[in-house]
Amino acid sequence: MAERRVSVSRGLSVLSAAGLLLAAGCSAGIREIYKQPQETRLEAVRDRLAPITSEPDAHYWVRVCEPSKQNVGLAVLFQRHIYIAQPIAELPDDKMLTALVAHGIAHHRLHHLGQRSGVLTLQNVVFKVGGNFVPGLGYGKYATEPLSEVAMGSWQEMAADAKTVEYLKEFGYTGKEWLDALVYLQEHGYAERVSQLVMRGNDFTGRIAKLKKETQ
Amino acid sequence: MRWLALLLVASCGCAYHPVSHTPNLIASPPPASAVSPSGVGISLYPRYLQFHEPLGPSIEKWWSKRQGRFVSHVQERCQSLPSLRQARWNDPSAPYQVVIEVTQDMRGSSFRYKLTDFTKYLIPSKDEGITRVAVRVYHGKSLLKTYEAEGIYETRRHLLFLLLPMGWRKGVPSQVANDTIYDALLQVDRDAAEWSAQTSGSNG
Repeated sequence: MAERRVSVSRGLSVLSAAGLLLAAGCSAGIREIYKQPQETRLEAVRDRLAPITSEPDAHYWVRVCEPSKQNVGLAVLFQRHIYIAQPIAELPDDKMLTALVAHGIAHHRLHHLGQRSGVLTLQNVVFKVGGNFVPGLGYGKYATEPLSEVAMGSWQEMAADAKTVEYLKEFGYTGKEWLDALVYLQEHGYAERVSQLVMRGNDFTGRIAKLKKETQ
Repeated sequence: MRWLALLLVASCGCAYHPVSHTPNLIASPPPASAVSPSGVGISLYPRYLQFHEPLGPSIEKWWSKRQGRFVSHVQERCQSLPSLRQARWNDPSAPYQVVIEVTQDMRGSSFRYKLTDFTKYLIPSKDEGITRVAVRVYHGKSLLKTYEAEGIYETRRHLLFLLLPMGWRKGVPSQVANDTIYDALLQVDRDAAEWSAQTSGSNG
């Protein structure tokens, strides 16, 4: 009886892990629009911004993406990718595009994605090793990964916001352009995605309030 | 039976075969350029996507990224083209800049891919690998021309010894990447006289 209970619970934990894994793989992702006409414009913005950063020769992949199910307006992903949703890329406002690209570059220059990967990898190793001693502990990473991303994301976004304002001021703008861009994202229901963490709506409220104080 | 099952699982893998190639200048290469412009700098920027999203830094993904390294392909092909033979790597001071962007992507069903991975290839899947090469030639800050090439290969993941035992070919992704890069660089070489004349005309 006890053996049957153990095998049933093991089977259930494997099935639930499989379900989580497959569900994660099926979540709406970023889909680049290949050779979108605004790509040239975004690359021109990137080429004007890159020289004012600490690594002017770094190559950023700035591309236009489809408006996904998650309605991501700005996505900052690995390998120095910055994606901007098509409706935003087609806006005539160059200052907003500059602010969005500057924010993406700020995340990459501050190595935020690398920091998150490092922490999550360390976490995975700990759970993996712990799973050898405590049955089922290995699956704990699926619960803690999103929590870790949220925890890291909150302070990383503040740092990236400050860096973005710094870049915009060096570029000759006032720095308020990033505040306007965040307000635009919030008002139009867009999300910001950095690695796997997606922020939208009320997640921007604290950042907008802080930027309003700093840019007054 | 346990050993047979282990052998079957251990013999799972991927079978590749090339599918298509555009614009396929490598099938009948144009005559080599007679021009060898001085002062050409080459920069290479590869990226690795999986179902349209950039790969992260995990070890398995590092291994697949390593297998897709393109530097050796570009260097090998440049040696065979007169206009690029003397190009210098990452030299921003050169008057002509050849910027090569290589994208390695997979397209298909990510759900099926993860299912195959999870079941250790018991449930087979199929997807396509795409290598896209975009080459831009600059003179100073002005863009002279953009060239593109694309190569596609198919990947089947299954238990090899049960299904299509002869379907396995070695080095297909690398060969497709090599051919696609060559395709793009052949276009650059073919037009080298034109962009060289264009800039000497504007300078003169």
